[in-house]
Amino acid sequence: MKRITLAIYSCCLLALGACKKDFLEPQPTDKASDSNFWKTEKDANAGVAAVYNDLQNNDIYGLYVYYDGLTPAAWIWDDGGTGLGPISKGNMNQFGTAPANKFRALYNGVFRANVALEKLPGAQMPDSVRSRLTGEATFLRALFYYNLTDFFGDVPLITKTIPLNSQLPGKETRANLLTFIIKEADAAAKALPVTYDKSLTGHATRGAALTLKAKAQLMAKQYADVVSTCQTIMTLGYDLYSDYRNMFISTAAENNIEVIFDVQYVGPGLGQGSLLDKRLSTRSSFSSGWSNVYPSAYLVNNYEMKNGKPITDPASGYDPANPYTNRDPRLDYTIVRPGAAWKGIDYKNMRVDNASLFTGYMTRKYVLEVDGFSAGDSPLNYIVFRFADVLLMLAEAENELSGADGIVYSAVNRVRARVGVNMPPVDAGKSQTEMRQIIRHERMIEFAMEGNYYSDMRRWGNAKDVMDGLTVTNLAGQQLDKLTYINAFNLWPLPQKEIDLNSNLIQNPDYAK
Amino acid sequence: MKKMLGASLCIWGICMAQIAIAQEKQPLTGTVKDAQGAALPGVTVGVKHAATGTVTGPDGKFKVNASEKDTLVFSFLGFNRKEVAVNRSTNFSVLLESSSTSLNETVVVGYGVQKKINLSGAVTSVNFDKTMQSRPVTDLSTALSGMAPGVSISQASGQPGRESATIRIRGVGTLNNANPLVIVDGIESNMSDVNMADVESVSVLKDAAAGAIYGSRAANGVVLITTKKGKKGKTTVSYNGYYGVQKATRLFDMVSDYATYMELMNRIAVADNPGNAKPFKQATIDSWRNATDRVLYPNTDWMDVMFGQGNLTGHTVSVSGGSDKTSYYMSLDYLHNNGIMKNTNQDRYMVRLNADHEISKKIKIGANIALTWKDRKEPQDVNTLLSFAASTSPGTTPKIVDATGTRYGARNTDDENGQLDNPLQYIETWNRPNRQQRTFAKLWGEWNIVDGLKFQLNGAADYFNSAQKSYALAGPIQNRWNFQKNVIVQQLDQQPATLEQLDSTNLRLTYFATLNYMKDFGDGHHINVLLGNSAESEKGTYMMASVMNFPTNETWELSAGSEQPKVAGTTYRSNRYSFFGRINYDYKGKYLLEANLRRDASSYFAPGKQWGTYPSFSAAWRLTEEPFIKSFMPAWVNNLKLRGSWGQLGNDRISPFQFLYLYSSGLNYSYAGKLVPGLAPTDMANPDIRWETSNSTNLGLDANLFNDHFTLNFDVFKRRTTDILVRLELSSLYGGLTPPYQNVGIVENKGLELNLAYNNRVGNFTYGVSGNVSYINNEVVQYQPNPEAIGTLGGAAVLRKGWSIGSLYGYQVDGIFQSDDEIAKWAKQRTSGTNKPGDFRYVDVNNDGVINGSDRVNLGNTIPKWYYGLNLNAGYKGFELALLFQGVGDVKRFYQDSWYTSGIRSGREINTEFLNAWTPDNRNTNIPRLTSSGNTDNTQASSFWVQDASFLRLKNIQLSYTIPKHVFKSTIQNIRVYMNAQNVFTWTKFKGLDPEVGDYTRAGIQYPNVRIITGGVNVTF
Repeated sequence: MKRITLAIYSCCLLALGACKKDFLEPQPTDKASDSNFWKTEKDANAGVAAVYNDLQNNDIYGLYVYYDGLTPAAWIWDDGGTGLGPISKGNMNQFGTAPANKFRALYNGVFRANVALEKLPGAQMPDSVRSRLTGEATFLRALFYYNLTDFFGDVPLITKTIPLNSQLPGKETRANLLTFIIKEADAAAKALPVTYDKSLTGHATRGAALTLKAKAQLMAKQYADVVSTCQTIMTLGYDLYSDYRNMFISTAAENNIEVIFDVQYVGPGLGQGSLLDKRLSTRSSFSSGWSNVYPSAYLVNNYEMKNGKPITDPASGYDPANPYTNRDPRLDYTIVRPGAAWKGIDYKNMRVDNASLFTGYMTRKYVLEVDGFSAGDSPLNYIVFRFADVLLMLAEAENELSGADGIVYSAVNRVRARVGVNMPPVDAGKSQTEMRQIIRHERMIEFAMEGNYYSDMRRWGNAKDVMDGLTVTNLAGQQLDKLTYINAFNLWPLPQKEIDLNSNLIQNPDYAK
Repeated sequence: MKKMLGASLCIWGICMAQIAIAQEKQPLTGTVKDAQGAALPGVTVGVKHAATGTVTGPDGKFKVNASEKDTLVFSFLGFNRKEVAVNRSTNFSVLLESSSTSLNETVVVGYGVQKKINLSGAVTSVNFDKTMQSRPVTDLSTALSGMAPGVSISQASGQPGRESATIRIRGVGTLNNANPLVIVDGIESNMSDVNMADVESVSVLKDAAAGAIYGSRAANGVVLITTKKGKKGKTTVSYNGYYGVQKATRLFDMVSDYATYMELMNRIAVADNPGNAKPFKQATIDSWRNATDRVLYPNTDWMDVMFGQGNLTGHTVSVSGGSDKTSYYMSLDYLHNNGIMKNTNQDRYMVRLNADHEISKKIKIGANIALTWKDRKEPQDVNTLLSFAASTSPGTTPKIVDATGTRYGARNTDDENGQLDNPLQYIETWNRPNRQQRTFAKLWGEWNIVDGLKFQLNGAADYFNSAQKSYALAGPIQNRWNFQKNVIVQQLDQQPATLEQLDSTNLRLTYFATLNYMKDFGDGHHINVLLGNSAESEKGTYMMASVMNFPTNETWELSAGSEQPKVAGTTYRSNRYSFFGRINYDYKGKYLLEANLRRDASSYFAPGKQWGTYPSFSAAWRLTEEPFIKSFMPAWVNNLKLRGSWGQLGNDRISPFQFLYLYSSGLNYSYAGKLVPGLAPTDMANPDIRWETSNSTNLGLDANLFNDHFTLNFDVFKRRTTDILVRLELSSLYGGLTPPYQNVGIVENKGLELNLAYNNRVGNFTYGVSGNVSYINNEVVQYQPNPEAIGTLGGAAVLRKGWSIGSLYGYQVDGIFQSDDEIAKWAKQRTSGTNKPGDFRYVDVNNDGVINGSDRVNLGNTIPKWYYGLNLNAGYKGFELALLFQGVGDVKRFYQDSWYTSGIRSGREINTEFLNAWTPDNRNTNIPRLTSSGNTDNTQASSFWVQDASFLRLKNIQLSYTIPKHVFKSTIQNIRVYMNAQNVFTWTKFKGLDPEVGDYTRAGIQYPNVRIITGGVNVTF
């Protein structure tokens, strides 16, 4: 019996030996948790940096340029996994990956901003820093909502983090969302400085918040407010940069006087590079001419002659045999065309392989022309807001408000007269309607291959008129594709998955249930 | 104890007899009969430790010369070996028991061994006989295929080192990790690292009664592997060696005639817009058609380029034996497996030593040590490689090797897409060597405290280490050529090389102790009590480093790289702590009762939610032991047993810390060109996470009939798993986060299992038939609180209440539009534009005039409802033939990828299956018109892409011949030569590659399974 007791005793002893308290409660060692994060200013900076990080998402600004491929300005050859290919072919539906990814990416940004806004009050830091970081998170959240309403129209408004298994809200109208964005942008503008110490360049500024406000006001058609907001921005010290070409392809030109807000990238080898140089031809395949998105002949043909006349005007001096001479200089600053060179390589030596299958044009903007970076790891910042946009928004709003007056002319002509572009001023005496077309045209050219035109067209509501039935051609004039557009595409469908998971969401019109 | 002492004395006696001076031999005679009194001809009668022997005649009689001290050994296929000491007898009447009888068979169960006849739970043990162990099974997990009812084994790949099969026991009981718990010699380990030759037995615990002793990890069943022990007596040396060749069971037939391909591509280019330019000029097409030079004008069949014939060689040597107090078993195994794809191969080395020693009559100790070393080579993840290897065309020359070196081809005409891949270049210039190493060491001690009371203590370490490099050769070898023009068309030599190196370790420490009390109360009452506790700790590390730009193509070490070094790494830890107990009670072997209880704590859950309790009860009634039943039972009923069980099991296999909100790092940003770290939660936390619980009920019947020639086992079961941990899809409104696991799902598996076996002999001819069949109905009883909710699993597979897990979901194809008029009259299928003739006509299920998401229906289940196996064997005078059939029934698979689609991208392969696509001239077909991949009208998930994936396969066939002993004179005891063929024939309607797949929701190409033909020899000394 003694032996039995001994055996049981030794059994228990061994058992107890293993049963220390932390045996069953190990702590994670590779991730921070609420018990040790969001305590200090350093934590707060890291938390807010993560909000900025979402801007780089491919479905937010990472590949924003691709949206030109959904307009006549460019053509998507291969959507590189973005799901934009079917949309460009007129196949937009609620099962597509592009709407699903965009919706998710933007609410992810909203969430990170909400986390920051909830945690900032509890972390240890000087109030001035707290106020500024709060302003940045507020601005970024409003920017995500601006994108949400731009693409999806009415969407739910989430302003705090929500616990698992909550009742989820339904949609808020675009009008209410814009009111929210304007209010928040205003609050952010008050908290944010006009400029930063050089080491902090890239943080959102008052100018960024106000530009967002102007954009929201423009979408809300509050033209008088747009004018006054733009005029405020014009007092903040911005100007047009003197080198349109290098503004997009030179790291030396980054954060110049024209840039109001951009997505910052750095590299190489830090995991903080932009994909754009790889995806927009030339660089990825070492100048074999392969690209995800190609500028179209339509865009090229829309560049005016140096004299300001369209190439269709018999008096323009356009020579079909030398189609690229005496054109608006922005053509060559934006596009690599036959006869041009990229990184010293002549177009004809670039093996624009199988030009008959492509448009024959390649993008120059956002494609680095220096060595030392692997493809897809470009340090070039992507500009979200720049001063030319403010000028053209001012012109657009003022024209809608009071017709083609002096304010309109001076704003449009200032953009055209940029150093190095030097396009002649718009002829005097244009009607409001004529001026509307001129501004729209100017926006397409000025922002070509930056991705803005897709939003512009949908804001103007003229996408169907402009592009439905239009053909895309190669250099020989052969048809590559025929475009399809219906007005329902002005809003993207809400992803079916999101509707399945939240019965309060109602699908946008014209997308089948 | 007395018996054991007797036995060892007996053995000792035999040994003494051997060393004694040869005794005088005398003639002995006798008769051998079976249990029913029938004479047995052909029985081998040998004299132990001597070369003499004979065979019984047609009347079962034999004559042999032996001395008084000798022992006669009787062996015969299908019967238990029997030894009879000669002593003073000269005439013997020997009774051989059929080995098919399960009456004395023992079965390994959790923390113990039971007589099969006394089992009350559902346990299947698989026999590892010579035939089994001579199969070229390169991964033990694949060996059970078709062998056990209720056990589904699917091997998805024939790639060396990646053959590991998916094992499902009684269906798929969770939406989570559904792998069974694998226990090797009592310790959780990995099946793939156990040498097949070392396996003594494999038991599969299928119901809760059998599995409850393993509590929180047993919900998906338990596989218990026991390795061989040495036997006291003479040293035995065994050798098994084989060589074989292997080929893919099936490859795709792709369009390899480039002229045809170009015409198809031209057709596709204008399919949607007749005005579009055609990429291929007629002159180019004609030039290929008329060419004779097939190097510059190739018609490349890329399947043949990628896959060829592989070979494999295996050698195993084992030595076992023992003295009075010590016994040992040791083995060495080597396998060299050269896959059917170049640059895929594996070298595997395995070593084992099992030893035990009696310190005293009361105390015994032992050790099991096994080492595995595997060197695997592959270009990179082959399934990924294959998925984009379709980005090439038959007009591409794979490679040219000449005085200038090796050059790989791209397009040979400018009409072709400029971005072709060259799969051969990937296979030959990419490398991903991997080395895996496992050390399994277990020490145990046993103390017989008093008669019937035994204490056992076990400690084990299972250490696994995996190291992997991946890199691609850099420089001109990466360029791709247009050989016609002799120019480089894809200049890829500037791409800097990257080396990535991964290293991971995992150490599992297990301790368990048991106290076992057995008592026979003499009046028919017998109890067996087991008490135990265990603690397990798992620690792992992971490290990754990469660097770019290498000076040469031979210096693939991290230190040789010069740019952009990167590192990452982490460690993890999880612990479990448990108590368990079991009581067995039987009365006269007639009424059998068993109860199990286990309490488990796991660090995967939040404090306060860590403990789970798992009870089980089972009972059995042996009707044939009941006198009043036996009296009217016909004599051919040898044994009849009814079983019933109920129990609860758990499943905790999820990643740790799901209950905590964690901040992921790496969400960085930069200001003014300076990197700033960024942190945010990326995963939603679920503080309420708890165990999955499965309730299982089993009813069974076992019968041995007709003098044990016929056995039958029948089981009906129901397994209901609740609180299933699922990553429920999460609305993006929560923040676009990775969803947490939530305890929401309920899955039910109901099924039947039947196992039948018949063994008999006619003269010298012995034969056996055994078959098993299982039926399983799987149903998601609850998926999400919202009954309409649909979860996607990839491909077209979804989760939905009332359907089986991974049911396929999509449109029902009604036919193909033949005219614009027909399209106009049909429900609207596109948001914009209209369909074209040749497109699918989908069924408007809800009759609303629009084809949209709500017209999708259940297109079939991806979990097979039936699986079955059939073993046939026959023997005649040393010849043996064994066939194994295996199959699954009633299963569908959605199959569509770039190797098999009607949506063709420029510069992609085309499957010949689609040559029969709809055209205005070929209307009588079910294949839609070919379009570019951008047009998804016909490539959406629909019934067209869902195929019947049932199959019947002749899994294995083996013919062997055991050379009669009189042919050779030496110390060799046995020589057996054999030929074996694996995956010989497959009958299926499935059009993809091999129909056998681990996960039927997979929508695309995988490394094919292989047909292996080997020849080998077993020699025993």
